[in-house]
Amino acid sequence: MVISTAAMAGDPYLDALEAEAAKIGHVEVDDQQGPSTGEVGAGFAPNLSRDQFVSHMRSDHPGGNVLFVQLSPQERDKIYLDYYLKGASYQQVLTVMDTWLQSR
Amino acid sequence: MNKIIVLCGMALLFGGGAVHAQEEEVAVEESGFFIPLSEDKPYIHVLHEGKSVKIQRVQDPEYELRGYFARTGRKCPPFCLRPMEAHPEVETVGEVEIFSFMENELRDETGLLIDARTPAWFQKGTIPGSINVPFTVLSKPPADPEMIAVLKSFGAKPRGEVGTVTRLMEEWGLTDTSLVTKDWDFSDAKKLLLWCNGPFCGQSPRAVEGLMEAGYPPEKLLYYRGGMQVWQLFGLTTIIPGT
Repeated sequence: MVISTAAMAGDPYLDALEAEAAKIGHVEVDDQQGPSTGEVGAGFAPNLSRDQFVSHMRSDHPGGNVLFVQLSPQERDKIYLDYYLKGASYQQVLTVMDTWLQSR
Repeated sequence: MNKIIVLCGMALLFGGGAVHAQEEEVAVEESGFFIPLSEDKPYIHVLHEGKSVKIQRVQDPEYELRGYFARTGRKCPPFCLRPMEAHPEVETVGEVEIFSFMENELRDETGLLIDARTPAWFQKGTIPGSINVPFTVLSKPPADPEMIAVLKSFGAKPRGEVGTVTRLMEEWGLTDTSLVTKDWDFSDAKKLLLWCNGPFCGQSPRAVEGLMEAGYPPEKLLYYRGGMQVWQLFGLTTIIPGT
């Protein structure tokens, strides 16, 4: 898809916008250490939304779901965000949940 | 002592001079609290240009916004404060709704987060997960080839010739026509969440107007009025495209 601004040349609003954007100045980016607060994770596979993940646990892993529902909301978040989305296997997720519950 | 590492970057970007990420160690136990995204979300991940980006808040409670988006005033017109709504039929959302949108519509690929600013702004930093479709494109006439290409990329389908039976069914109110226009079928079109620089910015409101003119259903449009200014005010993660 071609993104252009040329077609609107002469639009005073666009002219003002361009002048305003120039006030930010040139941004120098350190290649080694990007300016984002973002963190890039390996093996990220966001193929299920949070709601779908809960349904998936309930329907496909009823055994694991017994453990999952006993976790606090923060722990469930960790399972979803830190483990599942970063490519952990079901067995690894199961181990983590079991360890947390045993340590209580 | 538990510590978390927070990269405080874009919120510091616009202070001028060389810009580099700053890595800060925030001692959670010493500051006494962790600043989550919202009451029930510590952080979330979104896909940006094929990479996972963690969205979180700056953890330093003393941190103050500096640079361009810390300014309180701009020339008005054109940069006047705008109403809460971009259009009476389009819902305005805040940060928490964006987190939910990122966790659901973005991951399910049923929605798009659209940075409606011109490329000059986008290149200097954007909200992770956003794609840049400038208002200059989205406010083109519905028949413009560029607008047609954009609508197709959003999942809208050109209707072409409509058969007599279909037309009659629609005229008689026997089929649901809420998501179709004479030219487009928006049934499978994605939900769009549009944003720009903030409450003083007219770019995304113009984009919303353009999409409405093309027939895009208002229930498939969302407007984040806070934009980049409010996003940064809360110390939320931003990213430089291409990094």
